[in-house]
Amino acid sequence: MRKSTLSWSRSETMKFWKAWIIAKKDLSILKRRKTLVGLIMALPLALGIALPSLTYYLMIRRNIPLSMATELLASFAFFFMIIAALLPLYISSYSLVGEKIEKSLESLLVTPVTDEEILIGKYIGAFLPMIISIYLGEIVFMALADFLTFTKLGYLFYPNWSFGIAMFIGVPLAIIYGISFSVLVSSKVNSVQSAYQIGATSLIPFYVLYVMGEINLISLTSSTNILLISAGLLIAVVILYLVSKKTFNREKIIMEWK
Amino acid sequence: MAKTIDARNLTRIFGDTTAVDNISFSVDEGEIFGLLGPNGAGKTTTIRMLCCLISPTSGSAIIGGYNIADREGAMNIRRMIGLVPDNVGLYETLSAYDNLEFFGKMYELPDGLRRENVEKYLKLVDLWDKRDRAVGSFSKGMKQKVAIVRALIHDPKVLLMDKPTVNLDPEAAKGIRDLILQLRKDGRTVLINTHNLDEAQRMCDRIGVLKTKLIAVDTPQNLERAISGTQTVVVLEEVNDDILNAIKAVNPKDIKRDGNKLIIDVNNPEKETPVIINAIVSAGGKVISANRIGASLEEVYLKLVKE
Ligand SMILES: Nc1ncnc2c1ncn2[C@@H]1O[C@H](COP(=O)(O)OP(=O)(O)O)[C@@H](O)[C@H]1O
Ligand SMILES: [Mg+2]
Repeated sequence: MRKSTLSWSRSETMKFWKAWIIAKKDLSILKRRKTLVGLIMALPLALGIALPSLTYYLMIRRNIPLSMATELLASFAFFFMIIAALLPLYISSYSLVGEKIEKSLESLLVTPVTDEEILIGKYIGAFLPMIISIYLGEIVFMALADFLTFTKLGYLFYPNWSFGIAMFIGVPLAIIYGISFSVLVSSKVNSVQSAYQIGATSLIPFYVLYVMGEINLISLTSSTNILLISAGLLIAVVILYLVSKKTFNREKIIMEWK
Repeated sequence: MAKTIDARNLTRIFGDTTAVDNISFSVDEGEIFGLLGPNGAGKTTTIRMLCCLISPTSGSAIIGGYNIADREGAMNIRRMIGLVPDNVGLYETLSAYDNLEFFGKMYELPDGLRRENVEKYLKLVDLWDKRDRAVGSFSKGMKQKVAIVRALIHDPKVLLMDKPTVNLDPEAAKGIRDLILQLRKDGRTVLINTHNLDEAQRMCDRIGVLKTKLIAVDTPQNLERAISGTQTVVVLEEVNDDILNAIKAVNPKDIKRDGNKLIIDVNNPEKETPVIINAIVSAGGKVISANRIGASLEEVYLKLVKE
């Protein structure tokens, strides 16, 4: 697989600026979908407010031990990674299937554009709104968590290393993972509905990890584990990208429209 | 004259359907060529093969010197052609201007030229004033015009249009046809898919009648002539027995009389008609008019497609 991928790139050099034009076009289409934008922005923000509030409630009303409260807070770092992998399903499945529904893909494919430029463009166009929305949610989350727990804990819980690693390494990779998965799925299916459904299976590894964390099989709060998970995501992303590129079949996409 | 499009034995099979069967034709530079055929005739499949969107099962085509089967060639062909797909293929939520800007950039036009062309062509189709409106709010005719501008944005030498006037009201269709005729004046080569005979006849320099196989390729006039009728209508000032007998003496296949009008059928109009007219005049007949009844392109087409 590697060999043919290389010979591919040799004959068609990737122009990054072209991918950026496609990304900007996708972003301006997204901007006009107010409800979708609202939804994307609202989910991490809601978590950013709800999770610290829940912790605060448990500390004040239920008097859970401080160690339990900090353990809980720390586990939310992984929670945001799950959201980061989930959110792209709602937009990047839209972006390729959307082109098919609007029938614009045919017009796009007759321009001198390479498969790679289209794929990278779709990745960037989906990545930017996701990362903005997740980071916004995480910033609100950290500020509110510190504000609500400072008096009880006596120190600022955030920022800390493991959250930083999750935020700056785990979350971007989780987003790219989610995007890769749904781009791959959406180049194969013809309805947004099925893109969501098949795309949702990409979250299974996250659920498995989450459950393993819950029953104390692994710790999802240690920096090392977050790094390991990120490394796993990186490998998955590379594989998914290569598969997407390899199986991005213009002819099939056009023919299977009917 | 240079052949801009040269299709050789193009064939495309989908599963067990042969969509296009071994067709060969060429389109000269500056020519409007129509692929005429009923639904399912393989018109869209042919255009898609020429645009390098799908590959032929066998056969090949050369466009502007490049082969559609060759990867590098395909890239060059895409720079050289403009496609108006059978759906308009625009981003409905974006404005006409933003759509064209986007595609202009995809065609790697320098900023200045791109803006110039967007303005020039939007003005050409009378949509410059509406450039900032979302394409989704446009009528079908307006969308189709934007789709044509989209195909023109990089000044392609070759335009491929899949049913450019389908679903348009007569006025909008005329607007599009005038635009296409204008494009030929600019020296562009145009290939049009249509199932509309009248349109093909009005616009095309040559027509290829397609029904999976290419049944005939010729100018509209020659297609008509090829199967034109053998009857001639002669209108006289007055018809009398002398005249009728004089005609019968020449032995035509059939004579019908309708007042002062005679419909004369012969085997070989080129040879026999002058003799008959001569006989009428010699018998004292005064000929007001004599017209060969030609088969219309429609009859030709129906005849070809049914066979
Ligand atoms: N992607 C496809 N898969 C299977 N069959 C197809 C596909 N595209 C076209 N066909 C078949 O090929 C034939 C020609 O179709 P098409 O080129 O669309 O005709 P036209 O454009 O003249 O109406 C039809 O029988 C059609 O069903
Ligand atoms: Mg068609």
